[in-house]
Amino acid sequence: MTVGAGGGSIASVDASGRLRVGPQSAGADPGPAAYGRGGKDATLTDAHVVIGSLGADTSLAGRMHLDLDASRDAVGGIADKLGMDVEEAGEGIVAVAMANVVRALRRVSVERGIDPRGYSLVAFGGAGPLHAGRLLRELRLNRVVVPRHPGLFSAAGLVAADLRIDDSQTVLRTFDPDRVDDLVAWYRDAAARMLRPLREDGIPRARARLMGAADCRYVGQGFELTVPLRGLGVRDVRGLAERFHVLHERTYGHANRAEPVELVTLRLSGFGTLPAPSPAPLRRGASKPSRTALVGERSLLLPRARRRRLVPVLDRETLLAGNRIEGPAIVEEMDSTTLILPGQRAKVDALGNLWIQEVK
Amino acid sequence: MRGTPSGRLDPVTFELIHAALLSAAEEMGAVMKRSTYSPIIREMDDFSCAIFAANGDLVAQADYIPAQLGAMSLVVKSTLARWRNAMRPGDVFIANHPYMGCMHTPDINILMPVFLNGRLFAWTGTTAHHVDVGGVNPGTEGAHLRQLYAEGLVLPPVRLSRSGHEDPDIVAVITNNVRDPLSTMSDLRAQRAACDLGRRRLEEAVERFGPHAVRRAFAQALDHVEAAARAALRHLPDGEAEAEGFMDDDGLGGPPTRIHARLRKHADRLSVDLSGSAPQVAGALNVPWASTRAVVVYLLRAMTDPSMTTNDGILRLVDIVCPLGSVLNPAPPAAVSVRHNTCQRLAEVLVRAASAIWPEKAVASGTVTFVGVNLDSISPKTGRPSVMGDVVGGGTGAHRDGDGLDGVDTYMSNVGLVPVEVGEAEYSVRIRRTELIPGSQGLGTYEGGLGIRREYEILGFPQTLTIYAEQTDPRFAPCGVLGGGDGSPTRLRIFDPEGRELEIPTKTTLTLAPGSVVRVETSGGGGYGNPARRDPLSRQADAEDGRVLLSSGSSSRNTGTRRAGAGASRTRASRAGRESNPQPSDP
Repeated sequence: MTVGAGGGSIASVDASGRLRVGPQSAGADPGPAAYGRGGKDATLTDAHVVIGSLGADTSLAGRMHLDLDASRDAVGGIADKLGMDVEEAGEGIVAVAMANVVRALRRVSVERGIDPRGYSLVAFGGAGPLHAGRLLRELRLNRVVVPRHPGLFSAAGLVAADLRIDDSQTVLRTFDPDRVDDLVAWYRDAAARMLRPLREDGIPRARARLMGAADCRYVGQGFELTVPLRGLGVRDVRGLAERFHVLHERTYGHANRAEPVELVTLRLSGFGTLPAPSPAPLRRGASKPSRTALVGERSLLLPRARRRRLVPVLDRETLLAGNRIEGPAIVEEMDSTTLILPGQRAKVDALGNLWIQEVK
Repeated sequence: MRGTPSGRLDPVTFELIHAALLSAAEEMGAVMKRSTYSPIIREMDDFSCAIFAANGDLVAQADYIPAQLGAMSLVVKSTLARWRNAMRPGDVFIANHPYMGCMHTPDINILMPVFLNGRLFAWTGTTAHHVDVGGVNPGTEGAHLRQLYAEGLVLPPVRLSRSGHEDPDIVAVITNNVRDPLSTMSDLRAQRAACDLGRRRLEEAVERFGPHAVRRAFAQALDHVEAAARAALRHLPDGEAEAEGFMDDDGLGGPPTRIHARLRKHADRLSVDLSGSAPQVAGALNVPWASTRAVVVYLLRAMTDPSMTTNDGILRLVDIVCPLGSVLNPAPPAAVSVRHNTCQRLAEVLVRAASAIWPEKAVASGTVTFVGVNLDSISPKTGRPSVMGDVVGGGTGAHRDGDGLDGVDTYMSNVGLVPVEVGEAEYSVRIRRTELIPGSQGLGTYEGGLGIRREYEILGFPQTLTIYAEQTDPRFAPCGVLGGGDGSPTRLRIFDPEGRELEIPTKTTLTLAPGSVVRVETSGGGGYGNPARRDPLSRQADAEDGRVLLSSGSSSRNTGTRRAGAGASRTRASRAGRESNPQPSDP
């Protein structure tokens, strides 16, 4: 599922006076009005420029400078139609775009049987971290993590990913806790089969991790839930039906313990932890970021605020492990901008990841 | 919360609340799709989920099947009429009564009132097509049924749960009246779970925005849809048109049933006069009011802005005239289970009338309804009785931008075929072929979509087949428009185990021995514009894709020459400032 909520998404007001954002996009060329390449439509990026989360001192990708006046003109057109001032309209465009993202994230999560609350969101790409704090709040997520160099995250992931081998076996039979010997045997054999190629790839047993799971459903249902196993022993496999009922209840709000459970697929994943091309750990700093990390202040309109507020801007490259940043704050780096909202706190971990959480 | 002086929400707050409501309805749909048992719900999407204001107005609906567009609000209103002073938090209502706002007995509604500080605040609701709710026929539906009492268990709005506890008495009534109680109850509980998720999401919205703002957003959502639809209508020229079309019979093999509509558009209002349609019929082709209304909503959306949110605001600009006792507004206890066929014909007639007023928007006719195939069997998997309900779509009509679609469920319906794998795994049937029928399309500058040929072989033991179709009468096949040709008619054929063909009417229920084969061939869509003007590249592609029958090149059947037989579909139109007859081939 793709959501039309990128930096180029165009805001418009329809015949009945409703504010829409996307799915039409200005793309990269002409791109947002702020790019100064002749784009006239108000885009999500322009809205951020108007409310100040992207500033004149922000340089996109290290070199492109933003045309504030062009953004204000573009967003001003929307503001006139809505009878709002230009900053209210800018904040409105960002909020509506976020509502679209939230709606899509909810839908894809529930379709997969997952409640997004309690999960952590990884925010990356150029614009992801700009919206991280808002999504944390709207989706009531546990945490948001912004990796270092969010703009390069996908490429870095390809280089750094651990080895993983998946094996599965279709069984399609009613689950019977007294008939699990062959299931346990499959997990045992699959584990042995999996350890061999891992060993050949240089993964000793100590660095290999095995995770078993089984796709289950009630007899007659058309979709399965993947039930993770605690271990691969007889007792673990016997407990499968109960774990399925619990998961079904949690996912759909109902379970039926009297109903037979159908076992559809057995799954085993083997992970080989590779010596990660680990970024040099950050030097440890105090909980308060050093004075040199504070590179400026920016006046911006925060979500649901009435007027602008001066917010500190920190340089990501200067942050140290253990630093805590109380929102509101902006963290800037060459390839991205992270916005931490009031009431949220970011912590820098030993590898330089930013973990954002609500302060309870 | 910021509001404008008029007490309206500011546009941004409105959008945020509105997105939360739509999101709630969509999440309800995702839960339904994942946790129901019946293939008709989980694979074929024959269900809807929605949020309603306290008074029952539909505010937000997740779109899965247009046949249920806006229909549920009438059920909420019936429930209110009966229970207004006796509801408590945790109550959940169940209803399928076609004369109390529902559409036909298989579409069961589950409704949950949402309370705030002890006062009714809103409703969440789902409706889903259950394959069987008892009655004379496996699969409940049957065109030959004569009274509602033959159409299975009829539930006026009653409580499935009281104060959060499922009522074992009503559950016992249900499980003793349907053929596959386990799957029915499981699906009903999945519907209830979806309603409960919707309730939680509504409560979260209230927590965040406040009850006043959410209530305002309910009202504003309706106002916005009304305003958008009015603006779109104002942009269309005023005009008037009538069109008629026919059902093959009255459900019992009797004479064709006339469906007639007169549309009149003036400024930003539309009036739809259906009083020229036939009186209610003896068979089960009658259309309960909720369904007739849904067809009109479908037309309005198609004419104005199909991307519009579905809610009751759109009904504010239309007057529907239809006397009680009409096939489109029957009096109880007329049978209604196969009302879908009639709805599809009404949709076709309305679209044809609209095409006559606005030729610039003209669309050729599509297959008027899927062929419904219900087979009663014992599930090879569970050993329990189960009913396969399949629907076989056809071709849609061509339009100004291109060819019609092949093999889809047209107009108000958006239901998929039972996947072969699912059909064969869950039922005692072999699906011998599923293919498009070359040459079934109406020709034209743009061609209609192709019909589908599907064959079912009965396995294992004798099974009861209920099958119903329209357009087996060639006079009623899908019409072309603006010089385009007609699609081919629908054809049903049944062969006994020795391969001998049985004579069957257009709608029937009969028992078939194992080895029997049912062959369904649905009609293709009508063509658009003069076939001589079809672009040569498309012609070449048609040939390469095997869409044309080489031998039929000289046939006049679907080349744009309208047969002028008695009862063939007719259309007449007039438009403000000029008289026009946009269908050159009209008699």
